[in-house]
Amino acid sequence: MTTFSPEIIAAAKARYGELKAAGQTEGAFEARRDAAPRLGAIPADAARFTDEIPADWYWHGHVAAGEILSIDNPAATPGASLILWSAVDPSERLNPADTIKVQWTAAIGRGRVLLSDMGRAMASVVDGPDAAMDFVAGGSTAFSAGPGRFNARDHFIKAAAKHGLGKRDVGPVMSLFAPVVTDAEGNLVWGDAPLAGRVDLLAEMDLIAAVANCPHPLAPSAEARPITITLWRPASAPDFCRTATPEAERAFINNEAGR
Amino acid sequence: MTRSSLDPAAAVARHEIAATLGWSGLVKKGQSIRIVDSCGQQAVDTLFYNAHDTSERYSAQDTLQAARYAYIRAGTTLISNDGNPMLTMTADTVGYHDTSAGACSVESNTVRFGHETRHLHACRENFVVEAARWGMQKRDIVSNINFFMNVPIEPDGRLAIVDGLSEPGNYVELVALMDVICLISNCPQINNPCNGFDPTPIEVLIWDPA
Repeated sequence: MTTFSPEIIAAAKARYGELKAAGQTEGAFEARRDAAPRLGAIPADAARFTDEIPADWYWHGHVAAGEILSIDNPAATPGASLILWSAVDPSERLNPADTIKVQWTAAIGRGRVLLSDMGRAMASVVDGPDAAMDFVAGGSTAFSAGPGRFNARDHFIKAAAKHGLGKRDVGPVMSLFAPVVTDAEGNLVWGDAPLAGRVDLLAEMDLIAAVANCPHPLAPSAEARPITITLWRPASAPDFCRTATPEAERAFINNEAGR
Repeated sequence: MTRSSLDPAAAVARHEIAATLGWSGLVKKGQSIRIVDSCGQQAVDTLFYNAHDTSERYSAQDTLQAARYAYIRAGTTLISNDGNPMLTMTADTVGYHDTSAGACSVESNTVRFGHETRHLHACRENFVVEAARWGMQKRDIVSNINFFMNVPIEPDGRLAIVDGLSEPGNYVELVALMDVICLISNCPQINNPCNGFDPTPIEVLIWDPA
């Protein structure tokens, strides 16, 4: 067992105070995010794959580093869940807990990064809303969706199986178009952010991705509507997320070291 | 604040877990497990698995979905990834406990605190070693419960680990609703307040059903 000197403890305490203040004071991050150009319409010749995913169905596939996974929700379906694995070593996967803890907020949106369990950025949220993603309550399950209806958990188990993975590889997930908020009493409630729109995730490593078009279990309406998946490569990759926060910069040091 | 009436002298097992170390053990259906924060403000990172099929395990998201509440507290039933009740928290002398912020790791420490922390011990190191005793791997390590760790999530989304609420001798107690393997990392983190910047020992007690 290691013991630490009072000097080391005092330095750690001071350092945490500085990191927390920097991470939770509005200003620098928002300015960098707001100054970044929007992606706009996907150029017709830039997409290598596009598919409309019916209500309650799912999609899975490889997304190469540098490609953008766009998920468009024109009809405001209430939630679609997402899971990411590293294509090189799928034991590295999206870690919802680290994603919100490291970035000091559960309100993840444009400008933020999606972190793996190995301290690397798997994807950057290069466009979309500023929040309205859920990392706390997850996606739908056989229990929440009810008998006889497809659910995100089971879709992810099937998606995992089709890439040589299994149930043990389906851990916590994140949900898009899901404005889940913790109220002042600690209750998980559905917020009022608009649901329709597009989220653009820039792959920062070679990924296996799965998207379940199943309504979020906390959504007031359980009626799903189609979403569209597009994989495309922009003329120049938007890179503002890499330097949007000191935490993102340090995650990308790990991306570089892990190549 | 929900106290337990169980007598420590009647416990069938008592384990002191030294600061910074991991522990794992079986808790059989009907048994109660108490985790004591002996010195106060000590995060105890904890995971549970079905002892007969470890592909079924504690799911933080299923648990919070079912409770529609962002924390673990007395009365919370821990739900597995198969939707089954695993344990219920029967006593808690603190108030509420985090299950959204995960376990510290060597890798995430570099991102949170800087690369100079990369040689410090972390909870996921303990979890990997304890999981291996039961035939499990890193991929089996999912979002855990952080007993005695205080991570309020604000309505605007902001969240941070802040000073722990637990005092010396505070405890949580859970009754097992199935045979479970319990994995514990007595958190070694010194870069945030989850251990009061000074990791300390904890104690685990187990009782047979009355």
